[in-house]
Amino acid sequence: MVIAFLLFWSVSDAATLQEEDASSADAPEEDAPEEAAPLEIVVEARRDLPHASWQVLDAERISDTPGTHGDPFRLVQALPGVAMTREYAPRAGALSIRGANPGDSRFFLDGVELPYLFHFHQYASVLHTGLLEELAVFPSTFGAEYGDAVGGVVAARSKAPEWERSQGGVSGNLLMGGAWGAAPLSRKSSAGSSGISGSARRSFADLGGKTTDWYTAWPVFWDYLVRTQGALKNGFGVSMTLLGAGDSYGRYLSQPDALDPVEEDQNPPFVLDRAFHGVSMHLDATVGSASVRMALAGVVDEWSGTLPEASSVRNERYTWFRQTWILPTDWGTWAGGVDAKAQSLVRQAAVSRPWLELGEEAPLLARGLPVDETLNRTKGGVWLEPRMYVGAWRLQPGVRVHGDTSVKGFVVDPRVTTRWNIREDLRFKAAAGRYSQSPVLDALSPTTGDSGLGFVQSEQAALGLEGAVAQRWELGAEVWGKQLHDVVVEPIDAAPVAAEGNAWGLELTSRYRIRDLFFSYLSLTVGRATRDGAPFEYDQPYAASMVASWHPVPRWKLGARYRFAAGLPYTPVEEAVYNGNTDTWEPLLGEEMSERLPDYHKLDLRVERLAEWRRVSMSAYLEAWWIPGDGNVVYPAWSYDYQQEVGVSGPALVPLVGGEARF
Amino acid sequence: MGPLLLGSLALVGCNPAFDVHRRVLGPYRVAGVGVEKRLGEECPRAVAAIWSGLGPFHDQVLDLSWTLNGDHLGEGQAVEVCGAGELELEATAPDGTLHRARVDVSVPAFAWSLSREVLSVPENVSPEARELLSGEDVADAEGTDQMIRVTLEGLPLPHEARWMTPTEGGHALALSGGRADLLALSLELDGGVVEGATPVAGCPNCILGHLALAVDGTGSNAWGWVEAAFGLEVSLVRHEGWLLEADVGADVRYLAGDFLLDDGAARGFVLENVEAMEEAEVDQGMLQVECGVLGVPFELDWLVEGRCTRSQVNGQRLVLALW
Repeated sequence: MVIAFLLFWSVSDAATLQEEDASSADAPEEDAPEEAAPLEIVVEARRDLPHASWQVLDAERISDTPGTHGDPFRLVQALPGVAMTREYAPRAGALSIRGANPGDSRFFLDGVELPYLFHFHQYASVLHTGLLEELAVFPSTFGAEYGDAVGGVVAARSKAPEWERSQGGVSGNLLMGGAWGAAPLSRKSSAGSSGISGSARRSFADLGGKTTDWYTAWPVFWDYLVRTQGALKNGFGVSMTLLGAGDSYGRYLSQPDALDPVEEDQNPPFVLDRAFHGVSMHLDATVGSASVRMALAGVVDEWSGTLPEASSVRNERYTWFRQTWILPTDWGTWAGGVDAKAQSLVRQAAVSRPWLELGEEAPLLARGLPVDETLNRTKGGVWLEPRMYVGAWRLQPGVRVHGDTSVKGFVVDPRVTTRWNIREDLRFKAAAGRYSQSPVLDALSPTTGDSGLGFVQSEQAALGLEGAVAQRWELGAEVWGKQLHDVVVEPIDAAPVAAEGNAWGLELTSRYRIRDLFFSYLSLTVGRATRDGAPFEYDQPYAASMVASWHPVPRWKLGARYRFAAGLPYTPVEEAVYNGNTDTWEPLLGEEMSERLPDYHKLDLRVERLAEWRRVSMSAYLEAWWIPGDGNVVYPAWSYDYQQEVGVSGPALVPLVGGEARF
Repeated sequence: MGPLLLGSLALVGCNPAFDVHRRVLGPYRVAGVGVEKRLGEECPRAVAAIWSGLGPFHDQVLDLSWTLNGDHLGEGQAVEVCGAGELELEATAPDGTLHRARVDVSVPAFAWSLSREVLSVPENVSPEARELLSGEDVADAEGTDQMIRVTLEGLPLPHEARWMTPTEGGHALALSGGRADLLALSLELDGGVVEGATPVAGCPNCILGHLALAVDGTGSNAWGWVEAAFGLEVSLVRHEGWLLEADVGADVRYLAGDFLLDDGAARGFVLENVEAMEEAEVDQGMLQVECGVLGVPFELDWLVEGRCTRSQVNGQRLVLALW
């Protein structure tokens, strides 16, 4: 009886916000999520999550923010502490959170750790906004609940199926179209209820069979998500999520216009094909004021790169288990849990020389070493965190033990989070701790990596103040810092190495709103991040973001966003050596990361018209972005002999038209 | 990923714009580097093809410094290299900029000869389309709609030819096998299709030159100036890749002419008082141009690569081998 009870009583979801059950008599009442307000653009819901630093984005309002194309993950890049990348840059989709490598943060959707976040690393995230409930970002100094990350944690949760009536929608813009829907499987009854929801999207620019001088197969991306959920009246719930995404294209290795005809004739076609599929099952139970959550997931990620004379395959399969529990006590709650990930990675490369041009798309081909190996490991952790309430103080000492069979060791990470409600509208918060992360399995390869790499570790601290004036104007200030040890740096053409680093920052935020009429958000960040004494590649000493929305008359929405940030650093080329053997030029690099791209400015404007027809809600929007001056430089490029350097520019003015219908 | 993928996806994007291209001979640069070994010499000599940025000639003595495996070898062109390893070159341009190059020591064991054919310019100039064309052997051609196919005969595998064209000096459309189609036109191409063609200034009735470089990946390099004539109704003779105006018999092996510096000439010089010579008429006294290789006929390629400046040979009567 007890065993059966515990099985159903072990429910956790890494992507589900772990709102603490605060029913303890001594614990303060948790703030409830704000009710959706259709006019607001960005909302960090006023919750009380058991972490020092966090932001929650509500998807329905995210979709109104100009410049995101309705994509929540793109809005994460506008949060303070997250490096502001440039539209159309090769790594436009990179999320570098508080001085961490993008790979040092973890991204979850309904408990499934996503292999990658953006189609083609750039354009759209792998999730349809129509099914996104909310998205939480924990940039650093999170509690013991999360581990195996020295960067941040981004946890997305899909929308629960509808219990009462069917809903759905279609959406599209110039590049892709999609649909989502939700329907009850059984009506609410004394026994419970169940429902199903799903979404699917696909780009359509390829459908005419179009090819260009460069593309042999036009880029295609797609994604899907299906979620079923059942809620039983006795406090038990179960849900299952299927999700997947894929990217593919074929292109010639080099841009044809840079080649002479013979080279153009010999320009090999490269084919990229990557797709992942995942399934997760979630069980949760609430008995009295105690709750348990459990998630079990499996993911298959298949990634291939093919040239006429070389090919690579990277197939990863992993299963993921996570369980958390919360038990109330007289002084607060006990929280704890366990998580584990079993990975099997097959890496094969039939290649005879490095193809450095493919560093992002096919790292095994870029490295140029024949590989045929299977790497296995299991890693995971256990954690415990008492959450104590003493008057206006809340204190959370915690500890997480993280182990990894490939590193052959474990680490103990102590952490502490505290909060002091100075008065009703003023709160002080502080946190510190140690964070550890296993190197990616590829970096531990005996063929292309360094099997001697150890855990990446970081000591982090943050403190801040949050307040509100007249319950309308919310202000926040937070300062944070971190030391990083043995950060894995993976050059394209060499084995990975370990580096030291540090980062600090000061973040100021302001939000003002008049419900149903006006909303504004402002953030300002200053900080630095280094690696081995040189600026980190996502180091951004200053950044600012402003968002405003206005609902002037019924059925019309206006929005504007302005972003400003320091240019990201890069390593200049000082001179080049002519290689007479190959008739090519080889660059000699200057001081590491000693130059920067120009400052980045971007203004987004959005006008949306709403309409109703019977049960159908429709909207049509026009968005445009403008990047003034030289702010649209996305990366530097050099002439064939490296004597000339220019900035490659993205488009300065881009209009986008889209629409959506919901029923 | 291609950096402009998303640009393509969204039908927007910008390519970087440079005013130099690796197949265009623009400003001063190292265009080739290697070693050569002449008959009777024990060690090869380090040589470089330096493009002056002026034309197929130099006006200043080259400032070159050579090292072999880090050990200093000497200055200038044709420095003796008695050893194997990596040659490094520091070339200082007249404006003071430093150009570096390196190459493995590997003596080329071949010599090419040139053949020329005349063809009509096709609408599709892709390699596949041009491979289907065939022409007639010529020494010159008429009209700017003509295309001259040159072949570096005797170029062994795995050598590949790279063709470099002076700025606004026409087009060299490469083919495999050491071949290229040379045009007196500036082409606007969309893929392989000709969208526009503009005659090069001064053409027809012109001779246009290109630098051909053969590389094999190991340092066994060779280069030469290759010319094609368009619309000239005069008698031409062949000196290596050069086409020289001379009304002499087809079996003549040597030509003598007075070298005169001429800034108004396309090549930067003219040969005057040109006359055919028999082998017996060539004596050693006529083969003593100090900047060149003593005891052998002068090679106009030495002007292109910078072994000789125009002023060093100005006014001298040069003997050129015809083949």
